[in-house]
Amino acid sequence: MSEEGLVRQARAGDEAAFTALVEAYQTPIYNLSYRMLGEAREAEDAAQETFLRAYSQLASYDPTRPFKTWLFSIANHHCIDRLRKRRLTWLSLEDDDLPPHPALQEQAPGPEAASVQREQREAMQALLARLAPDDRSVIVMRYWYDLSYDEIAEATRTTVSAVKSRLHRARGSLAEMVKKSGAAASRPAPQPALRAEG
Amino acid sequence: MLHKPYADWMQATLDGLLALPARRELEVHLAECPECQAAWAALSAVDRLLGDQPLVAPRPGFAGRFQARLAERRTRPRLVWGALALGLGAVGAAALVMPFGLGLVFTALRAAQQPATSLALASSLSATASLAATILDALLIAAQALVRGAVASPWTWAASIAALALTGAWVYVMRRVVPEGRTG
Repeated sequence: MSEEGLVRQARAGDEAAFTALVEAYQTPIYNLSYRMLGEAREAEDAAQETFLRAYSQLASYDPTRPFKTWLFSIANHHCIDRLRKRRLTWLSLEDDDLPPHPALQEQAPGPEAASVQREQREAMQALLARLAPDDRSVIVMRYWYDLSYDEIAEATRTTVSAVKSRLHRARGSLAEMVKKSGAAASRPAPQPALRAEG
Repeated sequence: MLHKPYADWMQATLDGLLALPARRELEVHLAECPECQAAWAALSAVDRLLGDQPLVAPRPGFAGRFQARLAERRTRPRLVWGALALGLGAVGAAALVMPFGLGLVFTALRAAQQPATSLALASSLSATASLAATILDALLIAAQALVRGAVASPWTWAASIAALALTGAWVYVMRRVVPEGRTG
């Protein structure tokens, strides 16, 4: 059955149809929560809560809008609320020095590759954790889900220009952190014409 | 400080939104500006890193845990209303009983202020206390006799062991039969 059909049935009170939607979106929503919160148990809790809220707010969902964006919006706001409650203090870029980023070092060959990949994932999570929640969610939606500026704006309930500004600021902050790691110069950057071709 | 407008152009390049003439101009600028070159290296490294990150999946059984939470969430309002009804009932009962209790206390206090009533009350209390002491003595003697008899009898031991075994079996069965409130 199509997603629209499942949503229609779920709105009519069919719990099995909603469970099918949970199965379809469990990984994207869990991943978003994990990237936002940085902790597996809390991500599970936040993802579950997202689906519970979605289920209880199904009547307010506008079927002309994409279901995915609506779900992301609930998840994003819930994660930001959780982060605010945590009262995290964000580290300034001028604060402490970061360790060299593993991705900017030489790739380890053979059996060490998996371990390097894990290190890269952890390092990226650590970098993401240093961003403000609003900037982080824009980065996650842009890179993990390839959402357009419009879609991100809808999911974060903000304007396209605010999304653009947050994305640029977040990417700039991450680049500063990477530069601070002191290893950026060890790998040559590709030329822009090569990346942007087509 | 990065040179304008190249900082914006770098970001636009990463989003695939920079037009070809601007891209060429950016290329030329990067070739002669080490500062912007370093910034571009860091930006494109971040872009590459972010692009390489996998989706993290939840533990298996996520949908099942969701259903359990949904069922739990549904029973919660009923529990809250039940507790509220009990609480209101208790308050109502207290409101009914309290005037009677207070009336009784005040009546007793007023009666105790008269000398003849005080004497009668004191002797009645003393008689009640001595009756209670006699009953307690009798109960103690009966309990001692029972314990002596029970320790000597193998039937008492067998009954105790059987009762313990039955209790253990009951707890085990209930743990298997009654589902957990949450599976997550």
